[in-house]
Amino acid sequence: MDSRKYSGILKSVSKPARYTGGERGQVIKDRADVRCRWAFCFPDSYEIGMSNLGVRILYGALNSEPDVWCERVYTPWVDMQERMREYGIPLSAHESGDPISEFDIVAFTLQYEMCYTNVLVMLELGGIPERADERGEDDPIVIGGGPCAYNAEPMADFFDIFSIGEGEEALPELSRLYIRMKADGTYSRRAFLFRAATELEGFYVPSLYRVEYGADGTVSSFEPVDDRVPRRVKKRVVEDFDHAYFPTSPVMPYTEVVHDRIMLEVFRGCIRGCRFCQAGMVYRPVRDRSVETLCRQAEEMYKNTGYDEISLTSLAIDDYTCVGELTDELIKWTNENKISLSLPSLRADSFTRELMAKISGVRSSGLTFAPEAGTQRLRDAINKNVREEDILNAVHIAFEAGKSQVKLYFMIGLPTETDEDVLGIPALAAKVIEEYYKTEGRNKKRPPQVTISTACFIPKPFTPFQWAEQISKEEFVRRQRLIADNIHDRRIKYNFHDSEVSFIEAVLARGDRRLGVVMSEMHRLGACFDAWDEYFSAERWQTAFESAGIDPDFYTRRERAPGEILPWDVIDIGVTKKFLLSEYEAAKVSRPSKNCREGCSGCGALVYGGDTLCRKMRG
Amino acid sequence: MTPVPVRVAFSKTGSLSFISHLDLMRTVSRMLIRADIGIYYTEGFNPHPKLVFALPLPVGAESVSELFDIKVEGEPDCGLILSRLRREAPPELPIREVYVPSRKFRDIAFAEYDITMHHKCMPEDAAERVNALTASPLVLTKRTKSGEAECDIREYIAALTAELCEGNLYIKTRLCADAEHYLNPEYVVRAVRRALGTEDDDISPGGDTYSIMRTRILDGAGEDFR
Repeated sequence: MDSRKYSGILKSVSKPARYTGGERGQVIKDRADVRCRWAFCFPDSYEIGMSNLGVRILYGALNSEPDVWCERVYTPWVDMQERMREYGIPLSAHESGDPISEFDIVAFTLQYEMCYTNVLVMLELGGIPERADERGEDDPIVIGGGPCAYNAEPMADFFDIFSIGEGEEALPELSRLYIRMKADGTYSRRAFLFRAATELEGFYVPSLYRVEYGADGTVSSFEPVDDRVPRRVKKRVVEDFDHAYFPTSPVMPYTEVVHDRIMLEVFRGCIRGCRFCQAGMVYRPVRDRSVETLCRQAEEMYKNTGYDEISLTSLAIDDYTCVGELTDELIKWTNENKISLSLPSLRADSFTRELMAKISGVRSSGLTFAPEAGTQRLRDAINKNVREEDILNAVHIAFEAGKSQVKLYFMIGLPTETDEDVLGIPALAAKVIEEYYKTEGRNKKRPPQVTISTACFIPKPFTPFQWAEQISKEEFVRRQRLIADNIHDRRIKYNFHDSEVSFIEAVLARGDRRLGVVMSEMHRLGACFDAWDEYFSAERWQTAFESAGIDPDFYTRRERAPGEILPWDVIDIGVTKKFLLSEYEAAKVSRPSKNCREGCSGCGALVYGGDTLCRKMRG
Repeated sequence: MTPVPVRVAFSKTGSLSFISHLDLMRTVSRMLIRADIGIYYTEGFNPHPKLVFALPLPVGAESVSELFDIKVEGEPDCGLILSRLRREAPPELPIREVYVPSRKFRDIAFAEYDITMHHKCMPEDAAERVNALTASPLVLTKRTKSGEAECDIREYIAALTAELCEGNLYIKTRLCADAEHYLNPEYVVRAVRRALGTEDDDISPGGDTYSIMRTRILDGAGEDFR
């Protein structure tokens, strides 16, 4: 946003640096050289959007194409939205300041369900017709991607196309198709979408499928409208991950954002297969990056940014086969340059003294572990494969190193959970406090503090629990109270997620196209920033469900039959439904499975080639 | 080796005027690290480049007269530091000068500002009214260390003159800027708008607006502070 033209408005809103742009690392191109312009929208605030590694990668990958220009767009905060509406200022991209309606492609990354209402706000502020079937030849193509695109059926009415799976190769391919069709005069919205769905891999065009529903409300048929359209859309995977594009000159925000540091993506996928975890299934197969590549990327990024923190990101960092070697190589130069290493996703069962020493070299912060469930029985049922001894051993190491604060993350409402499992949560916290006093060499100046956080379990598509029902809001509240009532120690703090929000997330996560009416109604009722407690309104959602004539319990409070057609069956993630179902059966008898490194369970991800763990295990 | 203090003179303009003081500290810290000039770090729990700014600048205000002090290990090569910082500085944060300081920031007494105001109902005698403003008490609610207080801001205003030219009001003012008496120029804007009856502004693009530019930092004798 032009800081001189809009200076009056910028002075009247909170955090104006969200809108002024000009950050180091932003890409500016000459419009004359560009054939395809992307407005890459993150449907949340600047501070959240700028923290996302996936967007950084896709921004860089698209801008690597000389004739493609990708710019950034975020949801303006509520005060700025008011000004924009009052003065008729259209939503525009950060780099050029051009309105998003003038772009060729407007992309939304769908990271969590609660950002859906922001998508509709951004389309409105951008002057783009809300529904895909209302858009004309001059309107941009609206594409969605990210984790929620694996089942974005509730948003199908508003998107022309979805990118399924990893986008760093797929999105440049889509740009090439666009440029070719524009150049040879064959471009029309319909023709472009049809060719993307039929000639490229990993693109799902909702309007090319007809969905019918049975008397019981479930999907009775989900068919392509044309024989040439694939019955199922196979997700994209970057097969050569070690050599895949990775940005080493990221855009650096001036103002404070949530994650503002060097992020190294160490590997993709996860060997574990926790049964509630969508990421653990959809990012299969597991692919490592080499220590050599990672060290080179880290040094380049340090030189380009001046960040003083390197975060090793992955789903479970200590599962990286070379974690010792990588951290050894990094601390050779990070300590003397006062750079701290952070490992945000530690597993209790592979946490060692050596790792602890490396991460407490420069700056010190608290430690977080995620046992997910309070008893061994339930941890086995969800295939978390962490034992109580592992957790106590991990906190022991942390206490020995002088830490006194530990955070423990759990989920409540997991399938098969009983009150005994729930009570195991405060009991485990109490054992951690005991462990503190058993630790020789602990920091005696400070009392220990254990923070328990419980999230409400949300059954997700493409997990073994995709058939499971979610417990009622009232039952979540009862279990939360059960935990709170069984904490008798002021050194234990308890936080929990709002079950009202988790209920809505659960509706949308496994929702179908009929929810589009609810989303439109939510937008009409003024919904925005539903991911923010202060703007979430359970009453508004209730009103929207009622006026759309939709019973939200249909999506949450119902065990699905194994044979039911699921709205996301149209997507093929490699991992088979048969495997997911066998894992669900194993959960019911609390039987854990092997992780990918212990032995291949034949989940189906082997269909992807390249340098993957599957290929190593199965030759 | 004892670290040696080095002073950096810079400007903060355009869109960078909208970043806060904390944002500026972060931006400069990273710029110092990239410049690789042997910067001295603070000791302790959370080491970061030792960095002190001369004066705060309100969000939205520009300046061609900003200063920060750093320390470097060993004898500083100011020419090299200048070229390295210029290589790393954002375009709207130009580095003007690098030198070894002889005086501390506590010798700063005043700062001068150019304030430009535009309003659709600018009175014809606006300049006269501003020039007479300090003749009588100028009481505003001012934020102080102990909360908000009614305060006559005249005691912070060393000079205030205005000129009206083609509907724009150009104000030059010298305000106290020592550690005990620092006046944010936004208070002068408020006092002037109140006196002119132009408080109901139109913030629309190209509408009524004002801009603040810090032009100089001065010592007690009214000389440029270095």
